[in-house]
Amino acid sequence: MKKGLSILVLFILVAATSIAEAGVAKQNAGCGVGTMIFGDKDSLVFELFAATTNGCFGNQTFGMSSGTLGCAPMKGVVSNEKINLYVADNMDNLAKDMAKGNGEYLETLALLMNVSENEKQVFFTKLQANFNNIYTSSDVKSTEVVKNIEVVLQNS
Amino acid sequence: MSLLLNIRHDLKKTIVPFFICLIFCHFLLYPHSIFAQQYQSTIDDQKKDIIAQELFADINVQQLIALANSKKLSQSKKWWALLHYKKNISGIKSLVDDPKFFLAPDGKYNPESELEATIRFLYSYNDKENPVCRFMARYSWLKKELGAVSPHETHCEKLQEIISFKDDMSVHLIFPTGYINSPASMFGHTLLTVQSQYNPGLLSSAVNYAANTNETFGPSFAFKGIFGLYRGYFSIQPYYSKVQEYSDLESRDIWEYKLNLNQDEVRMMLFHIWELDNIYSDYYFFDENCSYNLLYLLEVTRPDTHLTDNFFFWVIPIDTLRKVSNAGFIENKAFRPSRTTLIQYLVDHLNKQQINAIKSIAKGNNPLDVINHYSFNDLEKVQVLDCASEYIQYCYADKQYSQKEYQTIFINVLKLRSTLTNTITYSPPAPPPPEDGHYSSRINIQMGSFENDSFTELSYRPSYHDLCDDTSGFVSGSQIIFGEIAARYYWDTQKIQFQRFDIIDIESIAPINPLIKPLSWKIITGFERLPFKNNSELLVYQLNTGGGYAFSLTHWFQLYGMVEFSGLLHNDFENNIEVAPGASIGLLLQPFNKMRLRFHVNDCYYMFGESFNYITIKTIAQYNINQRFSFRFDVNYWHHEQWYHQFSGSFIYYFW
Repeated sequence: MKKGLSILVLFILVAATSIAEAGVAKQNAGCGVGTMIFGDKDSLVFELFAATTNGCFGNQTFGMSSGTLGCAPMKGVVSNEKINLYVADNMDNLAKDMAKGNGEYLETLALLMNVSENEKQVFFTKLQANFNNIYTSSDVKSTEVVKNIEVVLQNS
Repeated sequence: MSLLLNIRHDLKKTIVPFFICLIFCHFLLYPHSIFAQQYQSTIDDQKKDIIAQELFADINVQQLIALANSKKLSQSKKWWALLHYKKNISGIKSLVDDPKFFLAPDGKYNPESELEATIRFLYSYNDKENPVCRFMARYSWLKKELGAVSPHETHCEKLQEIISFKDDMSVHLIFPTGYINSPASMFGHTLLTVQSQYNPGLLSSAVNYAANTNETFGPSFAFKGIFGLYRGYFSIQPYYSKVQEYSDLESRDIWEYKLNLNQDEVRMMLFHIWELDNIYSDYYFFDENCSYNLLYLLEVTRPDTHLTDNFFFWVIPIDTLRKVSNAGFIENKAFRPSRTTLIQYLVDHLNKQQINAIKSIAKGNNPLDVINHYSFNDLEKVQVLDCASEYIQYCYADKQYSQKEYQTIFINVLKLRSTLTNTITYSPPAPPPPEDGHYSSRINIQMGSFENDSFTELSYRPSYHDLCDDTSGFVSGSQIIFGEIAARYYWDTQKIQFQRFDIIDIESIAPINPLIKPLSWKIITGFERLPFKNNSELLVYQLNTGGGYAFSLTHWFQLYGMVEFSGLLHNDFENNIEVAPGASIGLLLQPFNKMRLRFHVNDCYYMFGESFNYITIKTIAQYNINQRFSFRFDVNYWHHEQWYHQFSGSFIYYFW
């Protein structure tokens, strides 16, 4: 029986060590996410949140080199930063929606850019038609994407 | 460059350790220092605003305390909810463990002295910090109950901001369904979002409670989690980052429940979140976990709902969801399909040529060439490209591409897609909602005959879901059983015997589709009584694992096959142990809504000590009447040199 027990312990250990790679911790937030997303002075409640998420966890999420996820505290950010951050954090899904000409990520961009309800369809169509000029290359940076969107909207 | 998922998720199948029984949530890395810093700076901000001492001359704190005592405020549900007090056999205790949360030295154990200290703190002169800012929820309640305004109130900017925020805020309870390939999130998760017109939908703030850990060594992670050695904190992130995590990376469907809190209630909730900023409670996987602590944010808005009461030993996210639903908090709900659910839905509507085109594009062939190779009409082209872009993102999350490969393939597909102006809105149908699913504990009374001896068996399963249970709210094709225990009484011999103790029994039967081919797997371990030659029934300890593939023939008919390993321990074996390679095949059917059928054959060839072949055949038919009741019929055969059989019928009751 002793032998049996020791084998039982072995079973358990084998099973136990395999959890080592199980879904433990994942770092989610980008650096300073809260500050910028909720940092708009108009929306006071988000100030409340901004305070709790303010901090630097390292350049984690999608923002490989986007530059908007810097660790320096952003005080009094303009709403453009909000757009920059949103685009940086949602590059892939936004690109997909833009190419399709509809979708939740595109709707959210329209909202951040204050596009009114009746202008929205024109906005979507324009972005879709100019997709090549916005997502110019496979390694385009999110700040360039935002700039390109502005250029596309101005040139019309 | 940032078309990239930098968090790559490991979809590798993981096995679950024996001693980790109920693990619920996701764990975030949240360095203490962030909170510490923040806490400090809050105090600094308040220092600038110096309050005049004369303002306190008219306040009689003793009188306020006397009033509170006469109204028995320290016994009120609201006070208990705000302080997270719970009564158990050892007395009254707050579940919050951070000393910063209490003002009285015995505040954790004494609601009365904590209330007195709170009143004293809120209504007395203080030039070091603003008491109202530190305990907004306590203050806003006491102000109403005592009819007394503290001079600190006007000096607390945060409070003023929240009060003066005129835009309508709404709160959603978010339920990402379970993720069977990670022990930590097998049971699903819950979080809240707060939104207003400035940050609706994806931009809303997700409020999440999680253990603070960056532990990667499994056993110690499990040990610490079970014994409360981690600290749990609330954190806030944009909701889109949670959607990416759950829906895009982990393939978990998400349910979003809009709650019917009024603006005052939302404010009370915000006050309480603010009070809990940088405050920890010891985190226990079983009960004081992510889903449980989240309930406090709702309970403080309506203390009469007793959301945090009546849990025993463990709290499972779906049970908390049901509690919130039964307490009448839910206004409406929405379903957000995961990326894999979407791909499955798209694939169902595509023809073979389209699938081939998608595969070819995903391999990196020029999308335009591929599309032109087939004679697709515009609509078909759009379908191909839309599905391809989802599939490419899926493959990247599954680590099938390098970052560079992914970027190029993905952007090429989108460039072509942008030239086609057709838009299609894809909305996979919502499955039955989770709160309508069965309760997660069950008792089973079984009557049957084993080798013509009639018996009655009683079994109890603490959690959670069997392949033949109703699938509403559970990952379809998943079986997660922990700690099922059974005893049996034989009427002829009048003996009671211990029958079974399923420590862990997890199976994931995930059908492949033309694009996505998940591994089906299982791990079963525990004590079970099995028939062996000479009519001896042995109570063996077994470990049975396997991996293979499952196929959906129709949406209600699945076939699966696995290669297995089985190990048995018992004194009667030559070396106390037997090990075997084996194989199994099975069928899962749902001919109509409430009926689930399973047929399973397993053959193992044991060869460590004495060599022998062992066959198990199981047939189960279960009729799921509602959330509470099911009927089930089992026919089992075993073969070890001769056949043994058992027939039985069961009545199942689900509870909690």
